[in-house]
Amino acid sequence: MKKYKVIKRPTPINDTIKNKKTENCSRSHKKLEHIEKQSEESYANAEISGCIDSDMQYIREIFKNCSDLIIRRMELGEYKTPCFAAYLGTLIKREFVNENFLKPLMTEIRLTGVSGHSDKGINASDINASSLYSFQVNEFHLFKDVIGKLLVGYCILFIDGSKTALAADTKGETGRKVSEPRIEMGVRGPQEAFVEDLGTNVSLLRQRIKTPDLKLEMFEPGRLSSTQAAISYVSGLADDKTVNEVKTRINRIDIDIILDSSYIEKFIRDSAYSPFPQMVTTERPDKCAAALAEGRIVVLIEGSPNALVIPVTFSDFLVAAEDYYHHFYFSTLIRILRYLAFIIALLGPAFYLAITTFHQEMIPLPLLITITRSRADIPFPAIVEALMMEFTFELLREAGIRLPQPVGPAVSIVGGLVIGQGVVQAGIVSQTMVIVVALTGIASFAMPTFNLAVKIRFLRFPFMLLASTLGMYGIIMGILVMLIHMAGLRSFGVPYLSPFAPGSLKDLKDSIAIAPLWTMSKRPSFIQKNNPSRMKKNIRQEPESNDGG
Amino acid sequence: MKKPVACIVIFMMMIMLLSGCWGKTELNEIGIVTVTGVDLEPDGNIRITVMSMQPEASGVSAPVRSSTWIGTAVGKNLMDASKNLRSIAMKHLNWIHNTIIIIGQDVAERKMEEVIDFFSRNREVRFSSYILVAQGTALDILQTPADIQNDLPKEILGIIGNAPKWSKSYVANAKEFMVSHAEGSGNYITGKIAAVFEKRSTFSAPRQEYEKLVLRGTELPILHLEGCAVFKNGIMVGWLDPDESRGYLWITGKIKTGTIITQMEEGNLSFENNFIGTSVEVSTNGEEISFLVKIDTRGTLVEQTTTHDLKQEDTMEQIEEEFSDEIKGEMEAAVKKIQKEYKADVFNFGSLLHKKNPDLWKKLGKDWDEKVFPNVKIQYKVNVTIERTGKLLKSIFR
Repeated sequence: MKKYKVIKRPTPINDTIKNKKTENCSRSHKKLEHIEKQSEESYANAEISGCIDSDMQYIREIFKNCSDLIIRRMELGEYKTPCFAAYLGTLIKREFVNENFLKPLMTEIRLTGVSGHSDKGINASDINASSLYSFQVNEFHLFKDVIGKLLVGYCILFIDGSKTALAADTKGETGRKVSEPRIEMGVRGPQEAFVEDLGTNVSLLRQRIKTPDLKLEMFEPGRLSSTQAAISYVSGLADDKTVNEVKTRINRIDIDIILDSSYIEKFIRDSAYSPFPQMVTTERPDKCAAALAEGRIVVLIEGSPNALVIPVTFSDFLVAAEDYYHHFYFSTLIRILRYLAFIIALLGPAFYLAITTFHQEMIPLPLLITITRSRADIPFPAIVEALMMEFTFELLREAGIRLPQPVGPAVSIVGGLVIGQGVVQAGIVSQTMVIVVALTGIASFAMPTFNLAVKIRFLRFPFMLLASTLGMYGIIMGILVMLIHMAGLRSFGVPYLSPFAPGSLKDLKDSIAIAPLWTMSKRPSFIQKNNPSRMKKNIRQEPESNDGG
Repeated sequence: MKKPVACIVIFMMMIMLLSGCWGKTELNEIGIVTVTGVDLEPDGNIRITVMSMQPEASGVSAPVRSSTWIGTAVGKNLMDASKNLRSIAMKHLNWIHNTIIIIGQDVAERKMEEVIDFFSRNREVRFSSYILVAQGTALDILQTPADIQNDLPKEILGIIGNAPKWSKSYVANAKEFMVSHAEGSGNYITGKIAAVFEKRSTFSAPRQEYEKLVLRGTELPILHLEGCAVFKNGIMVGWLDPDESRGYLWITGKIKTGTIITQMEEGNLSFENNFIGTSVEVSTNGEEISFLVKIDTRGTLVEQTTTHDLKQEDTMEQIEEEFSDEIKGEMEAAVKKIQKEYKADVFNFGSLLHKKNPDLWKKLGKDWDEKVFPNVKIQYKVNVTIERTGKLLKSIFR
């Protein structure tokens, strides 16, 4: 276990996958590397010999004890050139292999006229050119490449006498189909969400942005997992420097396994210790497409339905895709509501604690009497009461997330009724406190990005402690510290608080308020520097004026 | 990386230690003082009486009510008395929500400046607190059982809130007192509150209790807010009766809704104003000073028992003239008392002269209240406009 801990740490800057063999590192690290690369090292430079018996032997050797390796011997063409196909039976799709790979090779090859020579055998390129149906066929000379393809569901053809192996894509489809978004739901707008399969996710993006300018650059971080990571951006819109920076940072990642995009996020974010999220995580392809069109970069990870959007600012976390689909009056109202919800979720209990324990003069008398009445027999100080309630709420939430569905109602009954009602009737927590905590909870659910909601939950507690010890003064101090911290954050060079600080008047069109779509003719200036214009000006259609009314 | 984390941890621990000091009070520890009364004891000591709210828990079955606690203590001065109050108070007394200050007549006549100083210097007292003068002692007022409302402060606040509806009293708040002191005059007016024992009192009670009370003919004290107290140089010099109070309010333009009644022929007419514009002009001729009070008021004819035909323009003009005279008469009565008897410039005419003719003010300002103000000439010009006659136009009297 200890060995893994060592490697999970962020790697030094100049360390890439390529030169990891030569790096100077601790003994345990070296040992681990040896273990991981045991088989890889052995075939690192091995070339395909052209003699199928020895090649077959070699493949068998490498995949020793891998029972899903299938080797199919054949004879091709008029001169019965011996050859064999190797594939992992668990990854391929059987119909593909039968129909598109084996069938053309064994029967239809005669129609194509690829007959080969009696002495030289069949040229692999000829087969590639004229008798394989598979939509993607690669030619390889090294065992390393062949094995890499074999491991993702390719079918490899070795031909006697040829130093080239053919790899045909026969990947089977595993995983779920594109479905409705589960986390970022919306009433209006596309109802598609990313899935675990990278190819599907990319296709969802391609469906929305139909231009060759949409670039996809592949990386394979992860020593054991070789997880495919795709950096997608629209060239000409995305800032080259930012793209290069993202690439460098992803290249630096040297870890054994990557299971989700959050791994990447942790390694490439700017301020590792900041509680604020620095990348928008989304499962909505429309949100990603909008981000790409603004010149942002989207990182997709194989096996993760969550795409990362970079660079982002704080206001992006309070944006839902739906805002742009509704009428702008309504969207503005919702945005304002959301900012309020953010403040309530962050400061609700703290504010309540501060004014009830320090600044009673701020509460109107009738309200003060009502609150005092509810608190009259409570045995705990307000802060203890608040912490207890928050603790219970967090507990309920945590229990609710991982609960099997059939047991779900039990938690809401026990949590909502028994605790909520009982704790008040028993006189342990005051009713007002229950209301405050519930309001805070609801407000934190109103955050459109789950990423931010989690961080607010965490930040609420320091604020509560400050409020209970220093009152309003403490809250203001806390807010100042938080704002200073936020103003200092950068997400890939973009100030975190843009467009509020540094202030940019025209970018405020899409911040707390949202302007009508036809007036937002410019892309956000803090992200887009190359090509700010996104629509023709004054394109709003109006009916011709008629005097009749 | 280790250092900032350690710093944060230490900082948090220090914050935890700070807990409990620096003015932290839990809600269930405070007694919210809502009314304060100040009285003068015969031996010259000051008595402070407070009424504080100490809300009880609202159980499932227990009736929702807030209990009221009345405490009273004596001390050498106000601060001493308010500290002595702690010897009987069971909760931390807090003046942050104090809305009413009741001054006993004796204190108002002798130590009012001391009271104003205490309440304006104290951080916890709001400038918006109403100051009332009690006829008799403040203690009596505070010990009047609350009537319809379940607590006395609400009741007094309700009465104060109704004052502008009939304009026969005016209640000033602490800020007005302070402003007046700051201007140097110390002349001001505020409402008079009295507990009057009456057989026919207002009360809210169940039917049985009601019958018992009525049959027995018990006398119950009820609170009246009527008329005003006049202060000169920070000391109370006398009262104004309700009509004189209204005369004062006409001149200062503080009147919101007032009703004027006039007698014409065999019936009477009432006029209720809903707008008033007041301006006072100063004119000087040598050392002869005269003020012209101009009032322009508009409103509704709300009652009439004469046979006048209101459709005729000259009749209306005649009625308006009658009302003007009536208003003039009210103002004259108020001025007579304030100018000649009390010799206190509560209208703040002095500052108008100061603005208009600073040189003359420099000369006369010192003796303004005593010598000059009682002899200035005050003229009136009232313009009443009846805009509506209510739902009826014709008279129903023939």
